[in-house]
Amino acid sequence: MQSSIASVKWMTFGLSDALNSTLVHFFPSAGAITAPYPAHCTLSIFGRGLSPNQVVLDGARLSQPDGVRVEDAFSEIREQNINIFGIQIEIGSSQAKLNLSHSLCIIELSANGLATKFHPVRIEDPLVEGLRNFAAIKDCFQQTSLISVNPTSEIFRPAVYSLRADGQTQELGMEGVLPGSAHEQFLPDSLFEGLKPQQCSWGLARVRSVLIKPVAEVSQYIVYRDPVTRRPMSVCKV
Amino acid sequence: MADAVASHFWISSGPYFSSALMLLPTVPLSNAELCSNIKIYDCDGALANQIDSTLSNDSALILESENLLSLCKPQAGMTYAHVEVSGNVEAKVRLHTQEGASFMAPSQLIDENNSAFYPLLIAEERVALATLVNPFPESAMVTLRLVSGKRSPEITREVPGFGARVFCLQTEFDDYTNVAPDHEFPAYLRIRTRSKIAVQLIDYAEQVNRKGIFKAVT
Repeated sequence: MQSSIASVKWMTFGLSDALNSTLVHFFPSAGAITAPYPAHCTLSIFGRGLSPNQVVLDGARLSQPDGVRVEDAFSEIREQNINIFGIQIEIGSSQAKLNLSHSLCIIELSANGLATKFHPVRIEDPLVEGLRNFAAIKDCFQQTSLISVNPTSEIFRPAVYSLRADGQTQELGMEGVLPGSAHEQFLPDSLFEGLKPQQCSWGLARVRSVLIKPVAEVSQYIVYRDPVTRRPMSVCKV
Repeated sequence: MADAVASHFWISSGPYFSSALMLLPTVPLSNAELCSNIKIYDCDGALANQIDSTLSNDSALILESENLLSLCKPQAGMTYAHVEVSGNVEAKVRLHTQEGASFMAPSQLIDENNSAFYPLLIAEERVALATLVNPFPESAMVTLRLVSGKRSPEITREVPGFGARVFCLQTEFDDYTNVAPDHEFPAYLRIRTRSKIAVQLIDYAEQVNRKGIFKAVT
């Protein structure tokens, strides 16, 4: 018998300024059940200089995708010039017997005609044990940063390690992230010192392995930005 | 040691963009060398190439698509393939044009109970490519539905066992994606199947001087 999961939640960040905006796209789904039962999407935002706020979007239907621009739902983001903030997205339904675990969410960072889309961290997904491995890149196309979304009441310090050739790890000194905020920090250039660049068709590339410890309460994302325009080109959840 | 779960990618070597496969070790080992196995299947599912590679703990192995796909035949005007990566490695693909680069995660596995959905923007200067790779030996039927307002046309396509396919949504749904210059409208693509298949969406947004950047959902 299929168990019912009444709601599904994700935790992510949003970026907003004169050129950038954030869109949340969601797809309420109960798997094989495709009847258009009513569903709702609840957005909750928080961040430095931002009072926590919540908006419930009614009118969603099972198996029908929909989306909203976060700045339209929360006018204070533009009014208060909030550049980075945390968002919790929750999909639920009044039909208590539905299993909404098949629901999906995609975040879109829209910047001057370019869109960067990614899957956000799903809260209550089984936590990956150990450290997660990511590429830290420094070349003509990308530079690497880490965004931490901390909804807790304590300062969070990301645990990030570089991996040496002998297999030993070395912790990078990352800044603490204030409670109830989202914060971006670039990986230090010292990470690439001594790393032999690889000659590729687009030029020299330095790519180093970085290990990050996932944490249940805090969602973390690796962001790859264009080094010239600083636009986010890709976002990968930890 | 973690189980070696394979990652599946749709990779192209041109002409619109090039790709580079980047491999990183997931488990640090004292011997500083790890092995991964890469299988390249052409669009019809024939094994075109197979590579065993060693990695070092501290840096990535970068394999460019022109080398990986040299034995693959073109289809639909593109040279592309289904690439399977297994071993204790983290694999990502980076898409390149002259204007920039972006990462592409492994294709998302969907089945009878789990479909995929992607947001789109339909505009004259945009192209959306739905890429499908079949990790299994049996062919798979896939349904692609474009959802825009009250319209939701759909098409069904077949992907051969271990093969790959790419569909330009502006071509497949041309009756619904014609738009005047300087106009645009939002839409969604839903992909579902009764089998199992891996899917990804690649967006192209034209920038200045008819050059643009290809991006996938990560």
